Amino acid sequence: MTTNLVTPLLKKILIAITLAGLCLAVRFCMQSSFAGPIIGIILTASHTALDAVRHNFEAEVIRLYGAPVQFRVQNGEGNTQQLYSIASQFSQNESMSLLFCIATRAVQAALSVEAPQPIIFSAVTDASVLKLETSTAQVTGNCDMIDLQKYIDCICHHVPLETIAIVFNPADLSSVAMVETCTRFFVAAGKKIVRCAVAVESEMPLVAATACTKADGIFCPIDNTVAVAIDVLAQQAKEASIPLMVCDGMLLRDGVLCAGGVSYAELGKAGAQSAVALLKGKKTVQELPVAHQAPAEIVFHTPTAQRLGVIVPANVLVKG
Amino acid sequence: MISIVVLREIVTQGGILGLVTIAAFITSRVIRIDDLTLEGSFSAGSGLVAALVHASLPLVAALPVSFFFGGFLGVGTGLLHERLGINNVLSGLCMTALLFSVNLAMVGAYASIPAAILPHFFKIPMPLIVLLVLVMVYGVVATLLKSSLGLCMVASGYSPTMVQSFGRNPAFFKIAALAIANGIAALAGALFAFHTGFYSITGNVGILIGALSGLLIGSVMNARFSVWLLVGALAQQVIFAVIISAGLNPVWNTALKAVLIIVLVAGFQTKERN
Repeated sequence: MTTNLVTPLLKKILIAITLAGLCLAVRFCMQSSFAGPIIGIILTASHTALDAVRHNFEAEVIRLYGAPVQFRVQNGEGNTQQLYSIASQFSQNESMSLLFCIATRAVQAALSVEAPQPIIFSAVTDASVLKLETSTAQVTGNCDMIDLQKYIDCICHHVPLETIAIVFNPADLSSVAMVETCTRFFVAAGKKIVRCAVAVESEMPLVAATACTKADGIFCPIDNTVAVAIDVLAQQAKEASIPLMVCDGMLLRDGVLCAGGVSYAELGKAGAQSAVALLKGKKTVQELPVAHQAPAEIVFHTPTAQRLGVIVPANVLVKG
Repeated sequence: MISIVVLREIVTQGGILGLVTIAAFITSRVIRIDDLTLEGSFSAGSGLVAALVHASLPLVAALPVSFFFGGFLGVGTGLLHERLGINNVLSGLCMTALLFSVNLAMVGAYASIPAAILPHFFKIPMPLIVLLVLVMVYGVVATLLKSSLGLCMVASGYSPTMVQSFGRNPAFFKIAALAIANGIAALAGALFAFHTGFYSITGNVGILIGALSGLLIGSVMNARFSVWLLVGALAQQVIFAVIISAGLNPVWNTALKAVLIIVLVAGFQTKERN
């Protein structure tokens, strides 16, 4: 009788002790005895462009700072909840001297937990969605908003188009803002616009097929969902012989006619320069203004252009 | 309004969703364990394809390997549920959470797969490959459910005590059914990766919901294992295609999808009542 009562209780106590031990072990592992500065990097999601920002940031900080620096990288995998828990964990970590947030939602998370550390952001398309003027946090950073007017003028000049399908995620704030702007520019140039929404990646094949049949050209703003599913879109545009234009040089591949984007490697390096200036105490956050626009770098994919019969303008870069 | 290209996409995507719907039928209807692992298995199937392609292993292995991997995961969930007595939803959630990290470690958050690699290999177009797999899986599952093993699975779901009274272990049949269902889901994931040419850690979002709606739409027509399940999966793709071709304000796309499904299901249900 007694053994029957004690055994499950003992079992529970043992489990509790094991769990507590595990927690302690994890905590112990996390408290390293590193003396140099620790930089927390929060990634909204992982794809080619954002990874390029991260890797170039790390490399440039190490190069410029000279002394050892440690990076703690956490990836939100596009999950807002996960981003908030990463941000709150980082903000409570007193040994962390700086937060580097890549893409809009990571910055939003860091701002909403009121992180005491200075925040440097990167790859945010439209900084106005961050509402920085109402925030007390120390924030600076670089936007990846490109000179859209210039890019769209170039497209309208060199690619014969009448109807343009814009493929984007309607749940992505900065993407929607960009869609509004480019719709205005395209309409001003006398083009017709069809909006094609793709809410999750698995919808892309069907949306791409529809876009190919409804328009004679496809334009994509800077959009993480589109960036992840670009392969299937490029494949379908190639099959349908339709020009596909994107706003990110990293997405340029067979089937994509041209990309007008910023260099994400340069964006990462720019972030690193601000970070090192802060770490060395050379500048304060107030002395580092937010860069709202990055110069557009227009690149054409030569084989795709040849297949579509588009004459590549002389003043742009080519690839392929 | 709907062109050949769109039709091809509807068939391919509908076929892939149809596979997951069959898997959802096995778990929710045959053994009556709503299994969330299906979504994780789908993702694991895609991830495995990406890993295999990048390790330049023979492609022909990708489909059977993903099936067995999914089956293995199903056994995992089954053991959690049957042996440790963890609630079925929770064991599915835990397994999916585990898989998320496994996938990240295996291939990372994103990987590109050379497009059209599978059609090249088999020398037939992708929709046909999907349809072939679908017909095969459908045939096998239909035969299985009629066999004595299948009957035992159904009995384990409805009345485990009866199975026990025959001297059989209902847990065994439940785990077997979970293995088959998750194998099918992983197979669908593998086909999805081949079709879209990419693998993404969040690529499985919405698949289980789609499969469950397919199952429920199909159940309105016929509650047994029937072709209506596939019709249910296909109907959603058709609805979605019609919505995007209509070109309304994209904000209302998902709401419209819901309304159309409601109309479809409600319409058929009243017919049945009369």
